[in-house]
Amino acid sequence: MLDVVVIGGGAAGTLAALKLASASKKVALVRKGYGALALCPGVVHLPRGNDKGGSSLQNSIALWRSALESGGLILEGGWTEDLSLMNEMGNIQRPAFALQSLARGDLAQWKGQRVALVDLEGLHHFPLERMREGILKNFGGLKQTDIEIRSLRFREWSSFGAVPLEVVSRGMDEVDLAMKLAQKIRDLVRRERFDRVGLPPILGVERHVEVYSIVQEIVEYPCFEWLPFSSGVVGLRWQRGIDPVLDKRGIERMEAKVVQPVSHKQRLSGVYVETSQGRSVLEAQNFILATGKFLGGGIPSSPPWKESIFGAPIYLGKELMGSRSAYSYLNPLALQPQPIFACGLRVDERMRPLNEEGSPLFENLHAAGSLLAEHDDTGSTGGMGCALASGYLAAEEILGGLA
Amino acid sequence: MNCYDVIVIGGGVNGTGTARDCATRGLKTLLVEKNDFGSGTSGASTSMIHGGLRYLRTDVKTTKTSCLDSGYTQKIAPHLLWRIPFLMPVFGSGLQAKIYTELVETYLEAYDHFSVPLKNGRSHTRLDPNEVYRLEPGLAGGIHAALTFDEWGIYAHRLCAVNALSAVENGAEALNHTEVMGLEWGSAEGITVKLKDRLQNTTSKVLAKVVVNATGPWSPQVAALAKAEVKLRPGKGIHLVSDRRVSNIAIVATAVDGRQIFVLPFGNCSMIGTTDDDYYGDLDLLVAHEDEVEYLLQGIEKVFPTIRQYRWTHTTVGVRPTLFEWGKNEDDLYREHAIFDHSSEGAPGLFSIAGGKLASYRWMSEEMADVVAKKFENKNRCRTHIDPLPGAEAEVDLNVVSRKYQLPLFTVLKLYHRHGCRIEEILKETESHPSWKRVVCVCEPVLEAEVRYVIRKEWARNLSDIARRTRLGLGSCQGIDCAVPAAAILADELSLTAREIGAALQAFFEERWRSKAPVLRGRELAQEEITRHLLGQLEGELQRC
Ligand SMILES: Cc1cc2nc3c(=O)[nH]c(=O)nc-3n(C[C@H](O)[C@H](O)[C@H](O)COP(=O)(O)OP(=O)(O)OC[C@H]3O[C@@H](n4cnc5c(N)ncnc54)[C@H](O)[C@@H]3O)c2cc1C
Ligand SMILES: Cc1cc2nc3c(=O)[nH]c(=O)nc-3n(C[C@H](O)[C@H](O)[C@H](O)COP(=O)(O)OP(=O)(O)OC[C@H]3O[C@@H](n4cnc5c(N)ncnc54)[C@H](O)[C@@H]3O)c2cc1C
Repeated sequence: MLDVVVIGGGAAGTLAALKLASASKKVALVRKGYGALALCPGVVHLPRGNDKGGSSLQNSIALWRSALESGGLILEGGWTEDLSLMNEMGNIQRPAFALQSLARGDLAQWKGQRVALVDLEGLHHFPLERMREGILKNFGGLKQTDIEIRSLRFREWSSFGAVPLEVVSRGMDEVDLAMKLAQKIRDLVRRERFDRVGLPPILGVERHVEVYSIVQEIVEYPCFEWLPFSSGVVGLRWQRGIDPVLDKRGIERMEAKVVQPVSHKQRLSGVYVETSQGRSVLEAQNFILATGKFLGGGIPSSPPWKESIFGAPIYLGKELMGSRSAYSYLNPLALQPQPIFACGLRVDERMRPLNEEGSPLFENLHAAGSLLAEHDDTGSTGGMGCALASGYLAAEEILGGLA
Repeated sequence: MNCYDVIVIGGGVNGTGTARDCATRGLKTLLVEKNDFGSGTSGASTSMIHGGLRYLRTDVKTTKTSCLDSGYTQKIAPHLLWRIPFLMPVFGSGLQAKIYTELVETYLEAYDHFSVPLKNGRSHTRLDPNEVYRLEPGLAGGIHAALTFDEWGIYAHRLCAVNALSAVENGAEALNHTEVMGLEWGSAEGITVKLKDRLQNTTSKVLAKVVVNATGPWSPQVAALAKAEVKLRPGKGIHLVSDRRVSNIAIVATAVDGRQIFVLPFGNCSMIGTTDDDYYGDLDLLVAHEDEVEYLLQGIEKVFPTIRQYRWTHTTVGVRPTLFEWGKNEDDLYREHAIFDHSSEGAPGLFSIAGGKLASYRWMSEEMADVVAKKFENKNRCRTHIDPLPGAEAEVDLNVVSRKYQLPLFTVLKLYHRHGCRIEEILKETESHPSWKRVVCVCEPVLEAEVRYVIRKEWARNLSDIARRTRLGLGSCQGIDCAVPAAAILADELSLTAREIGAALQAFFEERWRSKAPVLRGRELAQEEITRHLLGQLEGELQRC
């Protein structure tokens, strides 16, 4: 018999599973596909206004970090100061943590350095001068002459035949191609002295770790990638990169859709899961629900507003959403902010989703991630931080109960 | 101070049409539009150059002139039009259904007399249930018979743009994003018109002997600048737009209040329309309401049961500049237009033109230009029904173009529907800039060369302007994929700063939001999560302490 079934394999579910496995619990992680995690640009923002000392937040990130690391992916950053990472337009994001290849672009470390930005003709929306301009404007203390742009013409670099970021990054998973491109980049920068070389976020998806290290070795300078416009390349890296780690830690992975509960009064005894092979029941002592919001699939995007699997009521703040239309929760006149993106489950102090009467749906069902109410995780508002921390908390509650 | 014979205020069909007519008659003309050409009612219309089938009962004259003018429009801008076959199903059985079918058929027979000879329409046909379901399997059961007739659809945004372009090619000047802020009398040379450039935030003054207020639903506001009056009964109308074709034939349905509504093919998409409600709110901030959305879905559902399962990506909203009449239902209001001479109100030289329909814009513009020309004793004849609009001057062999530039025929065809023979002018640029063949918007598709062209030659100044000219960003992604690359091209063409690019994207997504919020449900809501993260990326973050 399983100790815990985790429903949802995004940030929150994955972290909860890792935490439970670290306490030697028998865990299965069921996911029907990829959610927001796979689309986010490989960075962790912390929720605004947090005291950063929150121990579950710290612990969760430490765990996320060590798990990624055992899969070869390195998460850099820290608690005391945010990173300053730029995108192609020179806009600056300030996440607390990021994958190493991105974190090495931290502008705070550029002072007194010479940085080369590699322009791959045809790949960028904006000319890289714009990025430089943006950086100089948005980040004080750097000089124009510190940042050099070096260009490769389209026919010199592109053997991929197509230019979208995703396509090029997948192409780079072929190590020969990555090596060839790295040599071209080396030829471009080797005659000069640089302290670091910036590249677009194309250094592979599945084989990112290998590709990144090959490229650095050949280019002979520390390399970094700048942030993508949410293209999913980097998000896919850690979504995929975490799978072998889950396997190593003995977490059973299932690609399936959880459709319905099997309950016995106040206790959940199992869930029905659906695959192309058919339906079956997955039984366990405890359950964690981390199915994300509209994008992940945790909340169906039309009324009545009920959580997808258990039918738990969805709240907007303290207000029950009921079955009014989406429109009634939107302000069509203002782009931002939109309250509906802060909707979700309400939970008790033990992270258990509540029914309309305010009591837990089941005594052994816990919830985590963007499915929880009162946090709009869109934009740069700390979605990942919240998802990880709440995944950790939910796992802790279960461990407390089991102990 | 620049001095013009005539200043036309308003860049809808009527304003651009009037400016074109005045310019071709040799008058020194300035056209000013506060937002963008076609951004008002014209672009939000169903865009049907219909023959006025609806008015046949009450107002044969409107039907006839509509058909006649529809015929002219086909001659002067054939590339902008497409035929829309309509299907009018009759449900039920027994005597009642039979009689009703006969009645409708008689009505359509009468319409054929105008539509077939005057606007190249096809005669109506009568289909039995088998034929109907073969044509449109998605229709609800219980059909007794169906009747067909046809109308023409037109790309209304482009109709406005090419009219403005034609005016300029005939010597006029045209300014978009320029608002008329005031009208003053007192100068001997004419009326002083105060202008505000809304992009640069600067003001200026120009003089005109005649001013034409062609601002559609805004015309009372503009007339009020001269303390004159135009009385309208504005009627708000909305459409829902889908991400794909729902049916290939337009289908007529009856809404809960008995009004006729329809689902009709529009480019790669389908559109449901329309509503008609009195509207006295803010004309510059129009949004569809969920009641209006529901009204349409409910009505169409009766004849096309699966309609709610389609993906409705956005809405369009406009306000009809209907002339004021007391005591009538919105739908029964008289669609004829009127020209108001405000000289008796102490505003000599100021005219307003309002009412009418998109379908009869050319005819209305001609009447307006006749009045203006008379003031100048200009005897030149109107040529707007004969002279081709820009893009219609020559025929093009699309296969040849496709081969010459190695572009898919579909891409070329879409480009042709927007630009006619000027497609050559657009694609020529790719010889020296091969990368401009890149597809920026896959939904449509729109090439980089086209985006650059509409910025250079058709006054596109922001992303919404580009969307109106090319349909970029109006497909299923609503800009997630194409807004950033389009902004990059805009930045390159207009040398925008990073801040201006950010503002351009923000403004575009703002407009998309207003348009999609009313139908945001299902997959659209999930997709919106991604859009919002993209916005977060675009804005960048302020330093956090
Ligand atoms: C484009 C984008 C950019 C972002 N950028 C940032 C950023 O810069 N910084 C930041 O901190 N955060 C960012 N985020 C937010 C962050 O990614 C999310 O807050 C976080 O991933 C939410 O995690 P989650 O586990 O709650 O949900 P998700 O990651 O959405 O995971 C939900 C999981 O549940 C599964 N699931 C759903 N229903 C079922 C079912 N019935 N049966 C089985 N499985 C199911 C899904 O398949 C998926 O695996 C971004 C998000 C997006 C989309
Ligand atoms: C939902 C709907 C569906 C319709 N369907 C059809 C149809 O299928 N067929 C048909 O024939 N007709 C249809 N119509 C009617 C048709 O759209 C209108 O009659 C026609 O477009 C009016 O054009 P216009 O040029 O007078 O006004 P508009 O297109 O509104 O143009 C007025 C312009 O003036 C500008 N303006 C306002 N104030 C100022 C200022 N101070 N300075 C400078 N510029 C200013 C505005 O920005 C605007 O662009 C429909 C209307 C609606 C609302």
